[in-house]
Amino acid sequence: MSDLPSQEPEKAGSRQKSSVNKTNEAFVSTVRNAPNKTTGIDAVHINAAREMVKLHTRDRLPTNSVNNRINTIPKPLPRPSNNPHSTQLPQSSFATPRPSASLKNIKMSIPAKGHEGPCTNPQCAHCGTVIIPAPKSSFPIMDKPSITINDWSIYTIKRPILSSQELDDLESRYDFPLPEMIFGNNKVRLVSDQFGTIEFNGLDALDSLNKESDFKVSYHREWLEARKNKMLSESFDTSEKKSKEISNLDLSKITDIETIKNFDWTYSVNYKGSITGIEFKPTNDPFPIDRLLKPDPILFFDESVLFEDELGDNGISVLSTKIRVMPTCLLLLCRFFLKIDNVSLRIRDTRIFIDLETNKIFREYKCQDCEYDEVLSKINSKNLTDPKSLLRDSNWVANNIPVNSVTTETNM
Amino acid sequence: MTISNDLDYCLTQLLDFKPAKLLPEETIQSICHDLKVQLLETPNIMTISSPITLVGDIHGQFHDLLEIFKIGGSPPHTNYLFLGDYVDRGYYSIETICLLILLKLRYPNRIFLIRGNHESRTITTNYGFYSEVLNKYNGSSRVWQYITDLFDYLPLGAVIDNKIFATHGGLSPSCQILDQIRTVDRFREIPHDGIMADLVWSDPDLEIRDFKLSPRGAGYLFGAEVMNKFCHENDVVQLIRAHQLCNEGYVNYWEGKCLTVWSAPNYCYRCGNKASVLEILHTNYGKNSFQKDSVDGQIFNVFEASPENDDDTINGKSVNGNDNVDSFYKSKSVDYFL
Repeated sequence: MSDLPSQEPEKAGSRQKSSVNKTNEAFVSTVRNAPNKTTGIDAVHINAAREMVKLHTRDRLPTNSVNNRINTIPKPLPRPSNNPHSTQLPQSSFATPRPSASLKNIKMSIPAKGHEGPCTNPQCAHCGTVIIPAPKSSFPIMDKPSITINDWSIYTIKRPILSSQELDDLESRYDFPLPEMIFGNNKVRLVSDQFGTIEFNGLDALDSLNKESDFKVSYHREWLEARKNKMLSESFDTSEKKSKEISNLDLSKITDIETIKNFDWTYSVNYKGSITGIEFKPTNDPFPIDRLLKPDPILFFDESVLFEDELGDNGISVLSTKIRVMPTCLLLLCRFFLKIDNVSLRIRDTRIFIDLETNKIFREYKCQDCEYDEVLSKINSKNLTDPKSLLRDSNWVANNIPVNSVTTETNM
Repeated sequence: MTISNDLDYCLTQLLDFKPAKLLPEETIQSICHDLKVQLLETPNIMTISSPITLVGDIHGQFHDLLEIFKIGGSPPHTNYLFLGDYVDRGYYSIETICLLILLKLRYPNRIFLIRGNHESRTITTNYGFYSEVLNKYNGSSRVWQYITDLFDYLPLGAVIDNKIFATHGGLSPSCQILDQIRTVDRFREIPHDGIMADLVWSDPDLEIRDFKLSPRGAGYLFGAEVMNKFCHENDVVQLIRAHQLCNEGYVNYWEGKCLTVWSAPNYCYRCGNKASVLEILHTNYGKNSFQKDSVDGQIFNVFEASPENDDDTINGKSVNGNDNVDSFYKSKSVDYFL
């Protein structure tokens, strides 16, 4: 569900209509503004006509051709020259399908106002977006792009997994083993001098785990039985009473081998971000999906993993972030995705929406759970050769398992 | 044409072309059969001698395997013991395992392969190898079938110079002496339970002394006392294993008594970790051979991801054979997500 048209297929027709209207206006105004020396074919006419054709055809393009879409929207932004902190976003010379409010008066700077160190992520000369990863970065990518729009500065940081020294330094903070891939330095940070800070990072997220997990791996019972039988066969005084007792006991009680300190080995975080200075209260206002369905130019886009664990080959547990910043709003998604093979699937999504014009912030927290077999039976009916590959796609899973709870909050 | 010529021809398909040429299904069936015949004679624990270079998890990172041969020397000039986990996760599981099978057939006394937890049917359907086979062989899973059948024949460990025990994961509470491993019927899928499972799945833990159960409900961690007892009872000095990702490419536990070797740099094309191979030159140990940071005659060669990976890393072709996930470094990944 990563793309727009598939979200609201029923609206495609109406959008096309409205874009035609807009385009006509744009066409008319462009012609009207055209220079008055019309000898031969006027280049402005040609361009306007081309844009119009593009707008007509855009909605017919396959959903994955996001790049075409992006490239047609904004003109290249002027590279900040003398004063890098006050670039004005130019108004497009042509209309976009249902654009958001006027792009005028947006104060933007790349890198962000508070950016420290050299900026290695310039703007694209064609579409004005921040280039991520940096053009000169080498692998592993260690990136630190940033952007400021109006009151909000957005920073993302990407680094390799923690070193053993960094892990040693964290030893006192957690009393359980950390996920095997722990990107402890990765973060996404939204800062406003006026309102406060919203940050997402893996280490804070791991502070939010429950004490233990309800789940066991799929072959837990089989494993337990094997050990019980062994215990019974080794034990000489296995009276009937004792064997009954044993069958009701936990594995750790029937062998001399103990479990290490219990913890939520699925790493199912209950994380809504690390917030300072902003107070969220429940709201009945809907999360502004409509704003996000508009094909506004994306000025900044980044994604990263905060941690990941393969659960000892029993599935996957991954916490990741995605952010896109448009001229008038931004969306940040922090997704926890859990798949325990043959047991369960789980999604916990935190979405942050900021209206960059009014500074209204929405936070949505959505929990989804479903048993593995139930989801797999849905797919099996479709006769795919590799049905399990869908279960590895968190977008597919999010769209195909029931929602347990959603809460929406706002700062205003 | 002699057999070795056939093998050499197959090796050129993988080594002299970029990208490497996939072997036809029938060829893979035939080399898997030949290797099974050879491995039938191989005991569960192989007996091998130094000098030898130990390689940890590779996980389908074919370019990095080639890098290992550049760093460690190419077969048959260097002896190699691979500690398992050849497939899954990376984009080239087929090329990786085929190259190793061919090398083992071509140089049976120079190359040694043991079984990791990913050399299994269930694991490979969930972590990418199966999907890769379907993608690269037009929807046919036969190659997966041939290769996973071969996995059942791989031995479970090796003893080097009668002094070092090498296995994929670690120790098992059901195994105090190595002879207990030698009597296991290994020609089967890795079970969830018992010695075979523990050898490929268990992990060392510095904080404990004994065996502990994992809170997942299956699997073990082993501590210092277990390690000492195992060495004492089996008259070995060291355990070398793979199985666990680490940023530095290797981990040294209990002053070298247990070592982790990890050989997949920038794991999954995004972890940014280093990798290593362990060269064992000799095993003539004296009183002070085992130090906190070093063991006599053992050198970790640490390396980073081969630049050959860059295209895959940028394009984020997808791990696990699915195009929608794990594309975190895709340069063109701007996406109107909701």
